[in-house]
Amino acid sequence: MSIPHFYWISYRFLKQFLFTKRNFFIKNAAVILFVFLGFKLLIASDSQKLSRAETNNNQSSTPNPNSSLKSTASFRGEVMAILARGGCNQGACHGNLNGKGGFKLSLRGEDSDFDYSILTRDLQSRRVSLQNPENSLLLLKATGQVAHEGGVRFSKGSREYKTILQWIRSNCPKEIKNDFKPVKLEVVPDRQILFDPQNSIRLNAYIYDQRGQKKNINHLVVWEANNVGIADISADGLVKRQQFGEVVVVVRYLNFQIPIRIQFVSAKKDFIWQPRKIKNPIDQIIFAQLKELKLSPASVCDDATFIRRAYLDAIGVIPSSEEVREFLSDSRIDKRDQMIARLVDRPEFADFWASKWSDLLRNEEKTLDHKGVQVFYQWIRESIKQDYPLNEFARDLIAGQGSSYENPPSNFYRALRATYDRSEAVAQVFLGIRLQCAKCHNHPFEKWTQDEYHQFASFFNQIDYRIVANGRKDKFDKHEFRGEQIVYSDTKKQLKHPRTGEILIPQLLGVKKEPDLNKSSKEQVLASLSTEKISSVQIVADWIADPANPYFAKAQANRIWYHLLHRGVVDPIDDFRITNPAINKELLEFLEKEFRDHHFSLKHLVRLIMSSQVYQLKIPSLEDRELQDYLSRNNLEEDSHFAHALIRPIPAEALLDSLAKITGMKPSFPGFPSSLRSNQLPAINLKIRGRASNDLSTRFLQTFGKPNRLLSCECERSDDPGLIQAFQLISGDLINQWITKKDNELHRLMNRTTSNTQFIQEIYLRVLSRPATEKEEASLLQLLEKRESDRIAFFEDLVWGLVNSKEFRLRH
Amino acid sequence: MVNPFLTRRQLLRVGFSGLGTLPLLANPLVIPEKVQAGSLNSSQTQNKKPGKARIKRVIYLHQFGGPSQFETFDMKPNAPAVIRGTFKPISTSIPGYPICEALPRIAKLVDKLTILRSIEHRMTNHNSAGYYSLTGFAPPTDDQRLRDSPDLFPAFGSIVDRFAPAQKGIPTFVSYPHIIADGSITPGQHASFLGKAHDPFFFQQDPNKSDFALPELQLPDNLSLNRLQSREEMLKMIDNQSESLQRSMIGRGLDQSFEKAVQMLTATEFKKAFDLSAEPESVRSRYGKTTYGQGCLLARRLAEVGAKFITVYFSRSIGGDLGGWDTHGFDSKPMDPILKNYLLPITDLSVSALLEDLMQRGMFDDTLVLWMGEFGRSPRINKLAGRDHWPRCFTAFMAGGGLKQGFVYGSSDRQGAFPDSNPIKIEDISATIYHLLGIDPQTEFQDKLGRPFPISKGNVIQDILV
Repeated sequence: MSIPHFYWISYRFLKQFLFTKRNFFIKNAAVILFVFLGFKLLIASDSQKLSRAETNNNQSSTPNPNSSLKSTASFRGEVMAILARGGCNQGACHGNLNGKGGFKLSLRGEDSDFDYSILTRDLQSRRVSLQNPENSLLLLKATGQVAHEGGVRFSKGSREYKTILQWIRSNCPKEIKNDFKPVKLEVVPDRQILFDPQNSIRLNAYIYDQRGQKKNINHLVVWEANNVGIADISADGLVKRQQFGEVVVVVRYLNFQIPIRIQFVSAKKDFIWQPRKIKNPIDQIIFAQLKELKLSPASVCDDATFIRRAYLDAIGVIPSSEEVREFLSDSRIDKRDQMIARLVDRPEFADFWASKWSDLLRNEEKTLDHKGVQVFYQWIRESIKQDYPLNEFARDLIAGQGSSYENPPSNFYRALRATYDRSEAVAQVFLGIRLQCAKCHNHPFEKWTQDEYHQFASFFNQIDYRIVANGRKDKFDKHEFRGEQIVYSDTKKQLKHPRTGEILIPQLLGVKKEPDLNKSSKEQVLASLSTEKISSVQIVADWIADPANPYFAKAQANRIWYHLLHRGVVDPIDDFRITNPAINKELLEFLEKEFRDHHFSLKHLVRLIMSSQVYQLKIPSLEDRELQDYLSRNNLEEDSHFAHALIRPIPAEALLDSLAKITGMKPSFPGFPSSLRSNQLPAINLKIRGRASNDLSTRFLQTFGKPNRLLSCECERSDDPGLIQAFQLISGDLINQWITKKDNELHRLMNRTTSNTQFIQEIYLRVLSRPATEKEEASLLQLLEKRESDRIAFFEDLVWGLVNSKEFRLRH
Repeated sequence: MVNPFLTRRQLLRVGFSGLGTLPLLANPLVIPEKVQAGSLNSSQTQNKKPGKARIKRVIYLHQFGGPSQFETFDMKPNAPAVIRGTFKPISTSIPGYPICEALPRIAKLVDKLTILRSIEHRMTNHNSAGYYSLTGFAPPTDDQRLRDSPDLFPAFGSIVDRFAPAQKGIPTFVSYPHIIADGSITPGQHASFLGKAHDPFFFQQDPNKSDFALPELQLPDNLSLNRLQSREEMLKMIDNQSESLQRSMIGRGLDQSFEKAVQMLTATEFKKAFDLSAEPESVRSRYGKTTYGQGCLLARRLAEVGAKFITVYFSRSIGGDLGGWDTHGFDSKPMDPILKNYLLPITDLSVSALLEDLMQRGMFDDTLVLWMGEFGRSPRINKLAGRDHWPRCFTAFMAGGGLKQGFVYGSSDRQGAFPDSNPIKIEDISATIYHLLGIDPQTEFQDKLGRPFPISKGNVIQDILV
């Protein structure tokens, strides 16, 4: 305790007694005490002596934040690290918002000052006892000597125990002189593939200080696996296989963390890599990784599978029977490339990708209104059709202001009514960063701090709306807007840090924090804000659209990859962080560069990816014994490094549009022209106050997971199978009407086709994009013999069977 | 388990838990999302053993609009007239604890109930408070038209379905006969970020109608049972062509829901539960020939066949004709007649019937009945002879297994305005429900962004447990 501090307390103490109506005795006692303590102060010539005096004289002595004792443990470097290793400051334990059992630590040790004062001052310092260090509650609880709901965290006599004991014995210093100042964490090795029988590896963690001095801290870091059941990690970094598979070990020390990917592989000793055809660098990169893993990829899929997959992934609908026939009979060797080139220029390509972007940009009617969703959708669609560079697309949206009818990109902000919604959406959609956690506390798995979160958000605080007209139907609903709005920047608005109350200076994410650069960029930002020539969102827009932006190209290339391969190289695709590393770093780097080098062209990247061999691989089929074997032995499928195609339910819109194509029926969306396909639907129409319209087509889309567009996340689309989906396809009104309606295209086909074989073949091409096999044809004809009298009903049943089949419902 | 098509990620995503034919799917609790490796010893804090279930099921009688505590279970006969209102207290089976005269049947059963008189929160609007009452999570804002978005939390029943699903062939979570809405749909009635697989089996048909039947459980007219069978055969043949899809995890997920749907369309116990005509007329009229009354009867029938979380919404709307408890006195419709002629008699008849029926069938001790709305009503009667919203102190009751019977927990102050003792948060109620069902309230789940949350942020109300 410093001398001024001591005086201050004494003064407060005296004031309280002298200036209140207490009795004379207490006043006198207080004065005497003050004189006594003042005397003590005089004789205690330095703070060290004082603290010792306190220790001797005072029952509740105070820990010493500035001890210079040599043989002590570092609070931050050791004590905090041990608490982290014990899991004590995790969200489930004392790191919880409300603490646990009356003891709260900062989440994952983000606030060492807070933790220091809680440990040393709170509870009359019972947590650490300077008189009797062994009886400190901190040690008694952690070693289970008194009841502890969290169990025994370390044993009495362990290294952890001794370190903390030593720290308490030396008076709980907060800082020690010449303490090791960590600047960098390193883990060796930084990745490893282990082939059976090698089944364990020792990781070593080293910390460097500013002088380059290095020491091993295996006993101080937290070893954490991102995946359960693959490996067992000992407290000092020995990673032992539990079963084959992959695990990312996150090594954490204070605010440093490093992910180490470890693969335990059971591969045949006599594995020989069969060289594969390389179409483009994507194949090269992925096959190199597979070779390293001794994993043979699936073979390339047949033409029928390819055309169906390409149609679904590129334009969101299955091919017609003529298109399939034509493609199958085409004998040109580059017919797949030609097909891909044609697909990206088809109008449905723009429809489909505009629909994806509409999901992310929250193009929905309640807030944007019926006209707004159409204006916005058309602008997005047109951008995609013309292959407008995606960075320019982003610039327009992020800087988008003005009339929501005249300047469609301004609908981006019209949909995002709150400052934090805007900053979070921009980070998530354009940069692939989920900032949300950092709103309330430093991000537990990432470098983002709460301060950075709020500084970034402050760019978006100036956005405001001039509501030209609002004919909302429900006056109580503040989410509902009907009529034009002008989005503009109110440059006078400033955002305050919710915790400190200070006015925030806008700061771009991850912009380097070296003092000089920081100062100049701050000045730059503030200067440009004050001139009012440029809105604060324009600064963000220009930063993101700048080809040098470190996040944008990577995040968008990954998003495009995800839409075609159905798993991101980083996955989830909007969750880039050090603890969620790319499954193939080189691939991500290549895609990023390629995207940037080709002026952020969506179409270029789609063509490139789809024409790779990797995109055209099969799903693991029964013929691929070796692959199947490998996958099963190594517990891989999702994370199988793109060694085969992934199976996915086809999205709601593709399902409905494909059914329409098969039956010749049209979905109908109230309030929109009747010729619309579902991927052309700007947004779901909200007819009735607050309730979504209840027409068959809309209900169908919602049942199959079309998002309501209330989040800026791909994750809002849900593709989990559910009972209601099954009911829809088995006995639902829409499917029943479309299959049995007597005058639709499907029935005209049934009636005009005289040959049963011909019908069977045609309907297989239509629904499954492949001819019926001989076996299928034969057994169907056999079944049909018995039902020749109700041939049409038989055909209806066949169509029902085909659209309920997995081959139809899944992308494969 | 050696299977090329099973991954943890898919297990979590596809897992149609209630229908699991796969042993691993039967209890998703065995798959912790993340554990601390290399902790200093083997005991893991996350690894809490699930407690023993005290009850098998919950029947949540949700009282939309916000019932008045002063005209039901927390009367203030000694308060000034403007607070106490015009209803008189009557004595009940708990000496010294009177309730409203308009609830004579329930009065006789009070010694079986566990009354919670001091629930409090700060949400003053139906949708925000309604969401709170259905999920146990406070909404981000007290928004009159809180939007139902997947970043909000799931309904109690969806969480039960996720962590302790019902046996195969029966939906865990059934909700009816209204989707509640005040201007916009009240959030909290669905599975939200837990995914569609955990949505309730939800229907809006009126169980009081003579032609009550669920289209979901009916085949269309042109589709006979025979024809469905022949279609299924054809489907099997087609699917057999694509064995790799067939064996894939996603493929099996589709199969499970398909089979379940067909099961429900053809005859099953579950389908039979909806045949209210199987009940003797005396039973049907004892419950009351109203939507709510027959809904309560249906709840008992669903409980019998194994549903685990049954929500019966009292009304579709907050107030008005055949609406809920929102008795402000608007539109020249003072509160008292609505309570006297509609809300209270229906409640008295139907709720007492359900409680008695459960007791007679020996189901009372393994069922939890929860009667609760989104808030209570203001102590002071307003100028329109109604009461306004009041979340700061209100009453609900629980009844059934694991609870102290005839127990009045918490109290309100003299005006019934604020808790006087033992304040209760809705989070505490959710924690207590999960605890009784044998689900640890600290169980973690993750939202769409992968952020971990406990399924309840409250504390189990230990004092009301046996």
